[in-house]
This record gives sequence, structure tokens and C-alpha cells, in this order.
Amino acid sequence: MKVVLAGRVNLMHTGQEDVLESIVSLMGKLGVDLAFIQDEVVCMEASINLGISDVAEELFREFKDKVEALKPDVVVSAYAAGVAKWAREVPERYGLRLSVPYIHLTEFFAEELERRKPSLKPFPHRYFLQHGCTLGRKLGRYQAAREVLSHIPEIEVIEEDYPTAEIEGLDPAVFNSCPASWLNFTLPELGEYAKENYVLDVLVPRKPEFAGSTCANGHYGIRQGLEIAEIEDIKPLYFTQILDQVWR
Amino acid sequence: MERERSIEEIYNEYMAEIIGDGAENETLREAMQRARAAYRANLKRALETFPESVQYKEKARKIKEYSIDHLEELIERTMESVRRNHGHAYLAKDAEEANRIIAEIIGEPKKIVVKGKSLTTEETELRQYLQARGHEVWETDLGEFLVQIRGARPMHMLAPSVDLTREEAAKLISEVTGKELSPDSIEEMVAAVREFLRDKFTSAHVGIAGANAISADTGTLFIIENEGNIKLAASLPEKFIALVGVEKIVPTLDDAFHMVKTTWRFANYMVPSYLHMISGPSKTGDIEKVTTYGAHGPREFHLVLLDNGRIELSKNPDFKEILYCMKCGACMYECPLFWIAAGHFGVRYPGGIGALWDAFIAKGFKEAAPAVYTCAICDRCRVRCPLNIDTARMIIKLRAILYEKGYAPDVTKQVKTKLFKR
Repeated sequence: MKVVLAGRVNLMHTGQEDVLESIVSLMGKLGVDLAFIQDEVVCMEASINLGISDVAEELFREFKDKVEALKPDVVVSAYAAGVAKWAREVPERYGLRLSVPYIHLTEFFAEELERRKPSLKPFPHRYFLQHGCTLGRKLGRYQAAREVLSHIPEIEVIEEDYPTAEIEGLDPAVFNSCPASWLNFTLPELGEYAKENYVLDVLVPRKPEFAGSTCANGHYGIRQGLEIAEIEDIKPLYFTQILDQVWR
Repeated sequence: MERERSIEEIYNEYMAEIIGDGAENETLREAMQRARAAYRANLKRALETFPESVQYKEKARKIKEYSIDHLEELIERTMESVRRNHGHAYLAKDAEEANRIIAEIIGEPKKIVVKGKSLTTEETELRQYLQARGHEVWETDLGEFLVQIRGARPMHMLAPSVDLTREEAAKLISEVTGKELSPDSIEEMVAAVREFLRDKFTSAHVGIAGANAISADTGTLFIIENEGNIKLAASLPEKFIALVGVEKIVPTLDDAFHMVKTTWRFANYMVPSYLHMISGPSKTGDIEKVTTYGAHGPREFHLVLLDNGRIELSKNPDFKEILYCMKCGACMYECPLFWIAAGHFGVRYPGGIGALWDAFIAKGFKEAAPAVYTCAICDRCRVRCPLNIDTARMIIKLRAILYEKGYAPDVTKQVKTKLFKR
């Protein structure tokens, strides 16, 4: 199976090489042929979200050409924005469609774990899972991350609750708080306060040992928030880092 | 004439306020935490007690969709209904005209005016306009009264002083009433304000309020309140004036009731203490069945409908959803930026939906740009909104317009060259 990883440069640009390494390592363990996009643009999805519309179509067209030239079976990303843009906005706005499926890494690993049923080492820790705003709230895709973590023995997964979710017939994750990562592209000096507040208000009271978001952008926000709030007893850990540790 | 500010000046001033008065203000963060916890607990109690409320949302959305699509027709029908009820109806094209109409209705200077809380009057800056013409104007909602005496602006759509702690409130009320009040007793603070404002109500010439909904078929205003201040302001003075945005109009009495019950339930109330339905001046037919106006309530009833860009917006398919907002304020309790900045996130209207209101209605694109770029586009507000208003989607669309006009923040402008290498 040939897999293209989109968003590699984003991970490097944000200093999340540890996440990237874990993805590469896991793909190696799975024995897949992992390919990267040449001269990939950092977070091109921001072109739509920030209103930089004069270059957006060009960026998405280039992405399509580069990806399809690699002839992969699937495109995956740790980021949710690309998955969302290609699922709906890019086809609607520009009439562009990828010829291969573009899925989130949680979905890719959920499928692989289900198919391979590997024996994983235990991870006896409290892990806080944030459902990234785009993957969760906007696309309604929560289950894959839960399924991945459910394969790991002894992990204690904590999610944010919401008092009226049940009455309203909604998955509590739809109300997940946001570490305001998109503010890095608009008003970063204000974003620092929002990220710190997220950590102090949402993470600290729940006392996890590790925390991570399904989306690498949200995960970056959590990392930054932990740093700004100077919280050392909660470590940022992306789900692929856990999987890589527990994969025998 | 006031000089037009540059976009850099607008951003600098906005950032100084939102960080200085908002994000760095620990008291505000604490007040917001308390408010959020109370909101969630109250909402849970309200929805558990009235679980059918969850079903209100879909119908409310349909009523709004229809009403905004038929806005001009409904405005006409409302004005006919009000006139049929022996009231006076006006359609003001903008804030200036609305204020001028109201000043003319009030008449000679030095009248005492008692006001109920109304975001629409905040939009037109009515209190300041009337004060500048010599009238004695009192905000009578407790939160709005606190806003007035501290010379601030509302920090939330329904809870204008949500940013204040009890300690700060006690200090402010002590100063204005001359009583030594303890932060330990909110009851004493409320009593002191009640006593202070009682004379104003009984001597007021004019009462002013907004409305939560208007039924076009009967010309009836629906006003939700808890304090009883609007009951007094709409009953005791000779004249009652309502200033209402045209988007509050819905076709029928039943529709209006549906909208207000949805508003109060998702604003976290089981039931408000008062729901007023006002359709015209007070009247009696007790002598020979001859209808005579000016009984115990106001002799005159005036409805000033405010357009201020709403009619044009109702025809814009990309952004007309902005007008569905009922101003219940539920979204703000779940907004990550509102958590740290309260109404400093916004200019005239607070929060993400407020940024859109500021852009299209209250302030214009340039002034609203920093608030539009403050939104984290996390979409949490849509989930909490009983009308499922997709604020993040509209924010993203509006950013494309602002970017094109050169109103994006510097960091955003640099993305194109630094990240996209274009």
C-alpha cells in the first residue's frame, strides 16, 4: 500500500518533529510505502480560512497534481483542515476532486488496527483526548480516535463532558473546548492567552498525565498552552506517539 | 468632522483593549468562569425540567428563515397592524434617523426617560444621543445600570455586566447610591438600586425598551424580562417607545411566542418572571363601550423599526443567517475568546456573531475587522446556538472580503509570502 502523508511540512514548521517521527516509524512498522509531497506548502488550507482567496485555487490545484503524480492508494494527514477542505469546500468552490481517498490519520490507524489486530503493550496512563474542532465538530468524525485508543491496554482516556449533551441527544465531544490554534495565523499575541486559559480551565482540573488532540493543529495549541501556562506535569502526546510506543 | 482611523490604528486600539482590559484582567476571567458555570447549571436544570425545549430549535429556525426571506412584506404588515391598534409606527433607515425620530417623540428637553435593556438602543447609542439633548436618561436593568454608571459598554447580549464580580458591583453601587454595601449581599445591592431608581420610574415622562419578537399579524411586541423594570417603564410614563430591529418581526402571534420561549430557554431560564405583550397604547371601553386611549398605562405607543442595513442583508444569501440571531447570548458562554475577553471581543455587538453584526450592521467592515479575525473559527457557537447559526462559515467568507480590502491583520497578510511563497 502506498500512502502519501500530507502536512509533513506543517509538523516541521511547528516544531512537532516528534509527531512526524512517530508517524514515519509506525508506517515503517506497518510496512507501507510512505511518500511525501515535494515542495509542500505550509498549511495551504489556511488560504480559505484566512480569506487569502486569490491564491487558494492555485494551491489546491498544485496539491492535487503533486499528490496524484505519486499515485498513492490513500492520502492521510494528522491535520483535519485538509481532510475537511477536500471533503467539501474544495469540490464546491473550485470543482476539484482528488482521485484517491483523503482521510485523517485516526481513521487510517483505526482501520489498520481493526484489520491487523496487533498485540499492543500496555500504556497505564491518564490520557486527555481533545477532538479537533474541524474533524470532530465540523465533520462529526469522533469514533476513529476512540477506536484507536480502545486498542491500547490499560490506557485511561478522559474526554471533556458537557452537562446538557445527553438531554440534547448529542455526543459530548461536539462541545469540546478549543485551544484556539487558528489564532496563530491572525492574532497570535491574543491566542497565547486563549491557549493558556484552555490549559488552566480544561486540562489542569482533569489531571491527565498526557494530553493530545486528534488534529495536529489543535495538538500544537495544547503544546503551546502547556508551555505558556508552565504546566510540566501534563505532557503533550499525539496519539501516534502513544501507538508507536506500544507497538511491539 | 472626525478623522477616519487607519486600519493599523484600529487594530492597535482593539488589541490594547482586548488584551489590556480583557485577556490580562484576572478578575474578568474569574467572573467569566463563574458566569459559565452558572449558565451551564441553569441550562441543564431548564432542559431537564422542560426536555421538549430541544425540539423548539428546528421550528424556530424555520420561522426565522421564512421571516428574513419575507422581511419587507412583514415590515409593512407590522406597521399597518400597529397603526390599526392606535399606535404610531416608523421605519428608520439608519441609527441617526431612529434617534432623531425618538427625540422628536420625546419633545422638549429635560424629560426623564427610563430605559429597558436593549442592544438595538446600544447600536444607535440612543442614551448618549438623548443625554446630549438634555434629557435625563436612566438605564433600569441592573446590569445595564452598572454599565451606565461605570461608563462602559455591555459585555454580553443578555448579561451586560457579566464581566463584573460582586466585589466590583458593590463598590459601584455604593458610590452611586451613597450606601455602604457589602459584596457578601447581592440582595442588598439589588435593594439599593431598586430604591434609587423607584423615583425615576414614577417621575418619568417616557419609557423606552426593545423587544424580543414582534408579530406582524397583530403588531404585538413580545418583551422578556425578569426584573420588572420594563413592566414599570412600559406602564407608568405617558409615552412608551420601542426601538426594535426589523429582523425581530415574525409572521404571527404563535410564531412570536415560539421565538421568545426558545430565546429564554436557551438563555438558560426555566421561565422568565415577566413576558410582556404590548400591542398599543392603554385603553378602556368601560363607558358605553367607547374605546378611549390613555387609561392607566401610556397614552401613546410608538414603534420605531430600525433597518440600518438589515433589509439589504436579508437579501444576501451568504450572510442573511446573521439576522437569525435571537440575541439569547448562549453562544458566548462557550466561546474560547469570550472566556478570556468577554465583550472586549467585539465592538458594539459582542462575540463571533457580534463581529458579524458589527461588520454588516453596527460598525462597518473596517471597524469590525479585528473582531472578525479574533474568532477562532472553532464552530462551538453553532452547536450551542438554538438556531444552528453557522458563524464560523460566515466569518471565513467575510475574511475573504476583508483581506481583499486590506483589512486583515499583519500576520495574516504575511502568510501569503512567508508560508505560501507567493
